[in-house]
Amino acid sequence: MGRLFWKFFLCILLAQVTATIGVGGVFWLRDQARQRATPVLDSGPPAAIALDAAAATLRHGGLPALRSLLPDMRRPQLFVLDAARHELLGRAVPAELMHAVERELRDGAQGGDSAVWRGARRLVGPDGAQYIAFVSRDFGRQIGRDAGRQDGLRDGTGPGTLTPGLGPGPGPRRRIGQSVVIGATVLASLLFAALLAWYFSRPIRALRSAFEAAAAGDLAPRFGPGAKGGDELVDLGRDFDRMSARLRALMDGQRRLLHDVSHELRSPLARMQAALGLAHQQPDKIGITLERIERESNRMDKLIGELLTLSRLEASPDVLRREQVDLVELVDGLVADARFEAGQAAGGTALRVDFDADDSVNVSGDPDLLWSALENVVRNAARHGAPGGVVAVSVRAVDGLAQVEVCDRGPGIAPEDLPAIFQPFFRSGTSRTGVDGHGLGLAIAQRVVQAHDGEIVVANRDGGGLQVTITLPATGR
Amino acid sequence: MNHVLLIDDDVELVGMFAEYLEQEGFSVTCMHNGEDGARAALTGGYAIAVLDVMMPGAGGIEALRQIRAGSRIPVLMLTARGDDADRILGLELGADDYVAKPCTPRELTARVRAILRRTQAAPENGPGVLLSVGKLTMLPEQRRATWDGQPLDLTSTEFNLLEVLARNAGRPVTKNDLSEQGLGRPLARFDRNIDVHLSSLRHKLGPLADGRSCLQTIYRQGYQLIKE
Repeated sequence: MGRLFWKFFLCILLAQVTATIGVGGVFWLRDQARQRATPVLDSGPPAAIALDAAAATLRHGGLPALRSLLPDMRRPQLFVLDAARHELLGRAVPAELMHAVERELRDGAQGGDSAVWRGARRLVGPDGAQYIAFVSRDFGRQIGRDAGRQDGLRDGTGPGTLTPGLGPGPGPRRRIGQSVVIGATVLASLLFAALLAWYFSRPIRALRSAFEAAAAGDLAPRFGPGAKGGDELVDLGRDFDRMSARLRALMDGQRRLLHDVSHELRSPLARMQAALGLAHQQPDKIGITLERIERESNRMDKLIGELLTLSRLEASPDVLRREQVDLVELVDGLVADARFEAGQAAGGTALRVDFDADDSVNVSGDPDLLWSALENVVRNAARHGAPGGVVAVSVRAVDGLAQVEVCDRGPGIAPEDLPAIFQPFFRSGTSRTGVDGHGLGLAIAQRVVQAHDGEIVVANRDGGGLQVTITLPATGR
Repeated sequence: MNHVLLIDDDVELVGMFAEYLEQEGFSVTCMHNGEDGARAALTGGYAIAVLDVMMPGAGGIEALRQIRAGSRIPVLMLTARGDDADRILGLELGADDYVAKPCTPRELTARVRAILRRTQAAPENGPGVLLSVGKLTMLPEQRRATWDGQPLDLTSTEFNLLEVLARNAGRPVTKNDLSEQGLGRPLARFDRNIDVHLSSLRHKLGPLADGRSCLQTIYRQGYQLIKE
């Protein structure tokens, strides 16, 4: 049970106690007010009996009998006024009581003769004198006795009134009952507070342990997709899982990249060392080995340059420099380079590079980045498409978009490898050996195109070969 | 018999190694992928195979597994420097030794020579020499060993190490001595080579009567073959 649990627990308990005190207090105050406002006349059956008794006494015994009766009637307390509104025993009658009596009598006069239950009654003595008799409620003594009867009237909410079953029992027993009920209520309240606090703090504790595990490097999913629906805390757990999965993927990607980079850097190094060994062994062939070493160091330089470009693009995916670039001009230069290289390398079976373009297709972007992206794609096609003999490059403006298509008739890519083709250092199994390159070209091309809000799609062509389509938002001429 | 089989996917590198080894008096055949390499190694026409275990996919390790399934030809692994997992897996699969890439051709040649010297050790002990320690019997000139009458299937490096231990049975042999006499080179720092080979040997040799392994590690000293 952490600190949070106790905070929840105390808050909930406090809320419950406050609510209980508030509701109880409201009812208590209302009860008090009602007691103060109710006609202080007693209109219940005992009062009616007392009034009947008073009436009979007056009729048969006359005024002296009534007068001797009055002191005996302590409970309920009976008052009788003569015509001059003097109490027979000379007791003081509060003004409120008088008002209530008069109101009662007035209502009775209007409401016919069914005045049996009324709290005040006109009595006529044997001598014809008029008297007014009424029963007063004596608060101090009667509230306790009335409690049992009044439970039905009140809503049973006040702290002392939760004992409807006990009835008007003797005082000590009722007090024990009340404390039992209060104790049970407090216990139940504690229990509910504890349950609620536990219910709230449990997922938070689970989250905390998950965070601790993540901080310690364990990014395994912890909440699972099993918790369907649920509240915000369950959502939070699911979000945490998603976050840790993403982090894990990123970290794995970085680790793989680092591994690949060291491997890729090691290959030219191994060749350089081998060349150095040969140079030591055969000093007469130093020229050839120096050439080899130079070639390898150039490769390493190129690889590091590509890696830097890639990491720069990943670090800041937005293009910093934006200029008007004519894609037709740019691709035309690239095609010329590719033709030149193809003519140099292939010898007899020259690779044909077809170029087909609109007059000019302008995009806004970083010319160096666009150049390297398109160069990578065109070179890739020229390299892998060499067996097919022809590479077709086209640049077109379509619906406000600049579209560059590079198609070759090479071996293409295995369908299962297509999604991975933009990963750094990915090389399709067949193209792994023999062909120069590190597998960074398409990764760079993709990031450049995405940085220009464009799209790059790679697909196998019908009849063999690969088609790379780059779409960029075009600008006006 | 000094025909070397080079199996590596880096064509240029293999070419240079081949050139170097040929200058050193070996005859060399190159293979550029695991399947071809394993097939060539299993023909039995080579004295030693130099295998790059870092070929794409499981190429190198798979080739090693295939070679060991059908042949005891000495295998020298080329591994990535710092990649212990590949190296230990390779040694466990029965490679005889490893060289971390990038390496100089001279280092590679020296390692090839060391392995060939061990495996083609001249029968200078004279015929009929028989080493016997407990249930273990070794015939060094025939490179055969038996445990409790059952022939043991050992790689050449395992055989060499076991031979060193058997000659010194009952005495601890330091790892450095094991490396120098068994592998033909001094012990390098952080070298787990000996431990991996001895762990493999422990599996191949049966337990003693009391259930202990007959190969005991002597803390900070090395290993000892228990003499009963």
